[in-house]
Amino acid sequence: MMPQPSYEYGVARVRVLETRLLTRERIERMVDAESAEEALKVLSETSYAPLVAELSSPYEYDELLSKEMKRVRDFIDEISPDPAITELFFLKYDFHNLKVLLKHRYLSGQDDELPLARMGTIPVEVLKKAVEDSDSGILPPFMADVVKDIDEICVLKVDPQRIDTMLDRAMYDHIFEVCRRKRNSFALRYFQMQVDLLNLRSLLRAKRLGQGFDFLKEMLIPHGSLSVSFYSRAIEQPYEQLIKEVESTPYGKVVAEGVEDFLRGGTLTAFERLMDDYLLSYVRSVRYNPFGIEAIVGYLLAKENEIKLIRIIMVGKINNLPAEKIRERLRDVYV
Amino acid sequence: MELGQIFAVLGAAASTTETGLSLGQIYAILGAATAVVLAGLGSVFGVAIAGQSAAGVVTEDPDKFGQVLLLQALPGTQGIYGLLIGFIIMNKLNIFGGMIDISTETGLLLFVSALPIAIVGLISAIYQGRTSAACIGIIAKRPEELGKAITFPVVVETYAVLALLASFLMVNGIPV
Repeated sequence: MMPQPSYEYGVARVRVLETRLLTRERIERMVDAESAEEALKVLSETSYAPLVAELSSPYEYDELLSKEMKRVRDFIDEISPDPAITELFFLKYDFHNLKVLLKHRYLSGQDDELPLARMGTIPVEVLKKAVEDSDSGILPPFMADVVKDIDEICVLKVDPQRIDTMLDRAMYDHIFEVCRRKRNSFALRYFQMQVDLLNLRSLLRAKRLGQGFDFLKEMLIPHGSLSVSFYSRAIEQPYEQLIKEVESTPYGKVVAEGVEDFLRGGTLTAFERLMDDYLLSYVRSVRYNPFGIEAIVGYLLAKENEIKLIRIIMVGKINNLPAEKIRERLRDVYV
Repeated sequence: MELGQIFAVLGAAASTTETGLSLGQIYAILGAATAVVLAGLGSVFGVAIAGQSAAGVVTEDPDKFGQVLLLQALPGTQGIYGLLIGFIIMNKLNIFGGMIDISTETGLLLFVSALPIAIVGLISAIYQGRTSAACIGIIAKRPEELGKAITFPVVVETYAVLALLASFLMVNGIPV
């Protein structure tokens, strides 16, 4: 096995690459571009130039983005001084794939093209084989256990919501177990905030559906910093009361703005965008540690965010959305 | 074997043989060795820490080699200071031209004089290496700010220089 690179080395490489992230000004220029071709031209002035050159039409932007993401994935693997921690940030892709595969197995069964992500820690083929042949032994234990449990439950009754929740809980159980074992307070804090925000989103969803705490309880993920009694109270309260109650928590602003937009438009898009921005700004605030994993995770998240931004812009440009509409959907920039 | 036992054996040897070393000479040489070894080790750690950061930057941007090399080299000075003090002690002993005999007290004084640069050199070089590594991050993002990036590790250097000064004055002041 290759020796692990040091924090000093990894962080220094990331520091250089941070300068090559897209700036707000570049993003703005892409949004204001006349057409998809023009937007790509802006991209070709950046570190994306070689990838843009390979494209024959702007409609292939998705290929460009997955190539870039693959590059980032390999880069993180190469420089991570602590792969056990950085892998946690890729688990969401594995569990997304498991959700898709299990639901496909129990609900549709047709052989369509499945929207599987290739960024996970486990090759898609292995996950496929494990789910399709009920051979969970080839998965790591924390995944195998939950797949087995889902198989048992789905014999009786197939509930897609239940599949999602069971997988989410299994993923976060594993994540928190690793964070505690590694005593990584940065990762612990990050995932705790992520769980809190996901639970708050579930709360808003349940409220929108007019459901009570029994419904919400099934969706909550443990390990968050907000107590169960908070959620049981909040589900019954009007929105103004909820906003007041979270004011003193770090999520006050996210909830206030998210709920405001939710009440106006009826969707959680704004809340989800604010969620991502909040997590990104947390990582941005701690990334200056020269001897920790923060900057490396920060770069990964910045890249994920950047690719999301480019995708939103390109979809908008191809569908001739006005610049204003696109801008509404954009997230914060890391640089 | 304990250090004390080594000295006892060496001391016994010195008192029993005509051409043997006196205890004073042994203490003095031990002082010279301590200064060179500890301050040198500090520099080894320091330049290694900063060097890894430097390698990371050069991997992505080879044009910054000159600037990051300068920052990497900063924790290397402690080793030189240690050697300097070690050399002065050796010179006092006239080690290169048939050693002169010195009393046990003088030997011990020379040993103690070497301690400031030995200990402060060891620790300051390690921390200076960490500071340099962090400042190499500045060069990665803003190569035009080299002056500011060098300032922070140089502040750490101050205390190595003070220790060198103390060791130097003491060694010089001890009559042989």
